[in-house]
Amino acid sequence: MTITLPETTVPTSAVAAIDCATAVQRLWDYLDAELDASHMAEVEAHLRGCSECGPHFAFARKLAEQIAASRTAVEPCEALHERVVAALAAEGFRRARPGTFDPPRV
Amino acid sequence: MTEEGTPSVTPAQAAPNLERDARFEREVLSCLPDLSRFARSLTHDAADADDLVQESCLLAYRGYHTFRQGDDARRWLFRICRNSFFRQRSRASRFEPIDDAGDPAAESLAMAYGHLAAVQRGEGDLFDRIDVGPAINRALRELPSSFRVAVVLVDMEELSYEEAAVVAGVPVGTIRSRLFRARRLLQDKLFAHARDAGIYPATCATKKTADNQ
Repeated sequence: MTITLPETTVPTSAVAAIDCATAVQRLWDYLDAELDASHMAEVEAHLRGCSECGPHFAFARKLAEQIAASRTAVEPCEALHERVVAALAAEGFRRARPGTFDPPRV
Repeated sequence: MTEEGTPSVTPAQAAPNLERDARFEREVLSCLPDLSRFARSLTHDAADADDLVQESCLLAYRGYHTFRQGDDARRWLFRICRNSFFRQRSRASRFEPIDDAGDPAAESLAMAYGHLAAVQRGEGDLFDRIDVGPAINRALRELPSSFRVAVVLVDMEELSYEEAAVVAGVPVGTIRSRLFRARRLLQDKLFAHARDAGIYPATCATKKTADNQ
C-alpha cells in the first residue's frame, strides 16, 4: 500500500490545536487518509510542531509499507483458469473464445 | 439470490446466454489472479486456495444476475470468496473466537507506546536491520482470520475502510478495530522476531533499560 498523504485545504487559522494523545489516537486514520480535511489538518499541524510524535507516525507508515510489500505475487495460471472454466462449463457456461488462455491482469 | 453464494436459480436452469457469459469472462474471470492471491492469503495453502477460487467462481456465476453492471467485480468476488471461506471453516467446526473488543483509538496509542518502548530498548531501527518480509508473512499466518482479512483488504488490496467492511460483511467500525489491532499485533511480532533472531542482543536491551533508569 503506497501511502500518499493528501493535501489539505483547511486554512491554518481554522486548524484547532491538538495534544499528542489525540494526534496518536488518529495515527492510522491519518496515514490511511480516512480523516476528514479538518482533522487531517489538525494532525498535520501537530506533527509540524511536535518532534516526539513524528517518529511514531514514520514508523507506522514504514510498517504499512512493509506489509503492502509482502503481498504475494500470483502469476496468471493457465491450469487454474482451465480448471475454473471446466467447472463453469458444467453449469452451462459457454466460453467466448474456446481453447484460448488470455493471461488476465495481475 | 439473497446473499452471495446462495443462488435461487442456476444458469444451467436458464437459457444459454452467450452475451452474459462473455461479459462474465471479461469482467469476472479477468480477476482470477487477484482472487487467487486473496484466497491464498486466507488459506495459506495453494491447493486449498485453488479449491476456494473454483468454488468462488461457481458461486459468482450462479449469482451473476445479482451483480450490478458498473460495480467493482473484484470486490464482489472477494466478498464471495471470503463468505465461502468462512462457511467452509464453520462446517469444519474450526471457527476461532473473534475478539472485536479493541478500541481503535486505544490500539493506535498502544502502537505508539510499543514503538516508544522499542526505541528505548534500542530497537527503533528494526526496518533498517532486517528484511521483515518473511517475518510479516509468518506473523500474518498467526493472526486470527478476521484480523488477517482486514490487513489483506486494506494494506495489500488497497481498499478503503468502507470498501473492506463491505467485503468482510461487517460495520466499518469493526473493520477499523480489527485492522488497528492486527497492525499492532504485527508490530509486536516483528520486534519479538528480531529479538529471537538475535538482531538485538539481550545486552543491548539490558544496557538501554539500565541507561533509562
